[in-house]
Amino acid sequence: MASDALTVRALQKNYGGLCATRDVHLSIDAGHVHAIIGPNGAGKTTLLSLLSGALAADGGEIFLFGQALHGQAEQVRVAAGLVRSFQITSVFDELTVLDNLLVAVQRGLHRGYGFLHASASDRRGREQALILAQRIGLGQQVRQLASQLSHGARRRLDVGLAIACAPRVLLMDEPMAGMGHEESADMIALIESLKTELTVVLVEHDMDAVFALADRITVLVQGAVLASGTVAQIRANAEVRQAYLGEEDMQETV
Amino acid sequence: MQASFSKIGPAVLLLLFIALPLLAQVTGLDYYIGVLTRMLIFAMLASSLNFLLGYGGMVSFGHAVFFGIGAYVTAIAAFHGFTNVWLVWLLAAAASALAGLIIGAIALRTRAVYFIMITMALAQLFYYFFVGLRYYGGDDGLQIAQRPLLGFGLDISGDNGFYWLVLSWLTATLLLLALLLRSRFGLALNAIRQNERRAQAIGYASLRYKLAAFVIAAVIAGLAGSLIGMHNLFVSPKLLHWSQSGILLVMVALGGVGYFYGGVLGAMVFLALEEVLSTHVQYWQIYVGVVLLAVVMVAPRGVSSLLRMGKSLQRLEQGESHGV
Repeated sequence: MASDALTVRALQKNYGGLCATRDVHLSIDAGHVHAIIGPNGAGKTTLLSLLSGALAADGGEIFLFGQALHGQAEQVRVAAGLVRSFQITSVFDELTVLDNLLVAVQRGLHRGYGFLHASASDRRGREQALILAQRIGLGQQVRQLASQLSHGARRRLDVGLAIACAPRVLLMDEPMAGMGHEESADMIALIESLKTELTVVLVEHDMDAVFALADRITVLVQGAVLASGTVAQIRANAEVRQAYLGEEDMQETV
Repeated sequence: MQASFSKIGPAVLLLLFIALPLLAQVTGLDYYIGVLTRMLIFAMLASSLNFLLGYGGMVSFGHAVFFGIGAYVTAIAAFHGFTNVWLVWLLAAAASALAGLIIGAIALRTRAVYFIMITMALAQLFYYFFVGLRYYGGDDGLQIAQRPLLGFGLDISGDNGFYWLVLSWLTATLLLLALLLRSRFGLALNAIRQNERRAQAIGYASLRYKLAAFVIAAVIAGLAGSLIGMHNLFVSPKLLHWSQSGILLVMVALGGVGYFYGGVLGAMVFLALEEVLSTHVQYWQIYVGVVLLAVVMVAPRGVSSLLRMGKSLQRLEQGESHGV
């Protein structure tokens, strides 16, 4: 618990009679990449939304480095350092790449609304946004509108917006979704580089990426945790094999 | 924020508004100074709605309520013998801010068509409140015996003096809006309009930002209302009727939603049409409708888009070259 970046206890979410998240307990070590896998409809995105505060949980507790965040508004969680990225790319299409990153950077950098502070003359903000643009490989495209970017570039900008909030724990919802091989490799390298400074909760379907990145894996089935452990433990777990991975896949990857 | 139409556009507009009244005086067409004054007041009002609609993405169908409240505060203050215009403006701004806070706090919990309907419903509530306000004239409205005093040795009791006052207010409004749109607040508001969910996910309490924009627009509308009261020397509940709010939306659409001068151009074109047509034909509204239809067909994004057509075409090509 002491070294836990994120602790989740008895998290619960029901939609009418349907139980989307069932008594989920998680304990995620600081500095780890913790993957959450599971078949479609297992409630992975719901879980991330409950953690980020976009959805209100029906019960349970969430602690970020010991700070209780359950019941707190989304912006409070972001300020505390719990930030998410999106499975379906969610950026500001009519803003340039630079302004996309700037608006995210500025939220954490300043207090108040900044009614009369010109956003463009915020030197520190621009500097940080430019550094970040380099880091996500969009340094050459800062003046382009987000809508003009390629799919892979938009995925990276989506992740960049989350990184711009200076997260301590980053919740990533399928960052590799819809990406080609090369683009995926870029994203894996980016996540690798993040590992040194923050904790990542990674929801991902791409098993190669999961096995390459994850320190720990939690398997979610029908809203409940089926198993949680190291990569080796999860691979060896018979229940997981049956429920999710499938014998064939396992033999291939082992 | 993109610069709207050509760079000289604003300067041309300002020169026009300085030259026109002088011209009217010389040629003895003093009557038109009143028409121009009305245009400028509506330009200020429509600009506040354009800020809300074009930059904040909030389709308020009750914006005239703040216009009416500002006007009524002015008339009621005059009724009770207040003669200091600065105090009157302070009261008008405070009243419209309070109304904006209340209406905004309720209406912003809804979205899309519900937001449109609830702003209209709440505005109608205020309309009936003023209709029922017998002491201040009720349905018949309320006269203003004389304009309050500006001080500083400036006279706003005549048409000319008042015109310059209104032009100053419009200029100040546009400067303030330009400042706001370039600010961190403006960038955040723009982001919230485009993608509210994401704006929340990067830490913005979007409701508060939208409410702030709503109140700012309400205050500007309230001040414009105070000016219309002083201009007409008369206020009535008609000022805040829902149809007035509808006309405001038409003005903004006509001028160009989200273009910086969209409100100004829309108000000018609409009122010029009304002025010309209503003096020459009986059922002039029909012809206004026909012209509106024509504008919508030629320039669906409003008059502003026509004036900066070169720029938007360029942008389109840019988009194509990037394979979009």
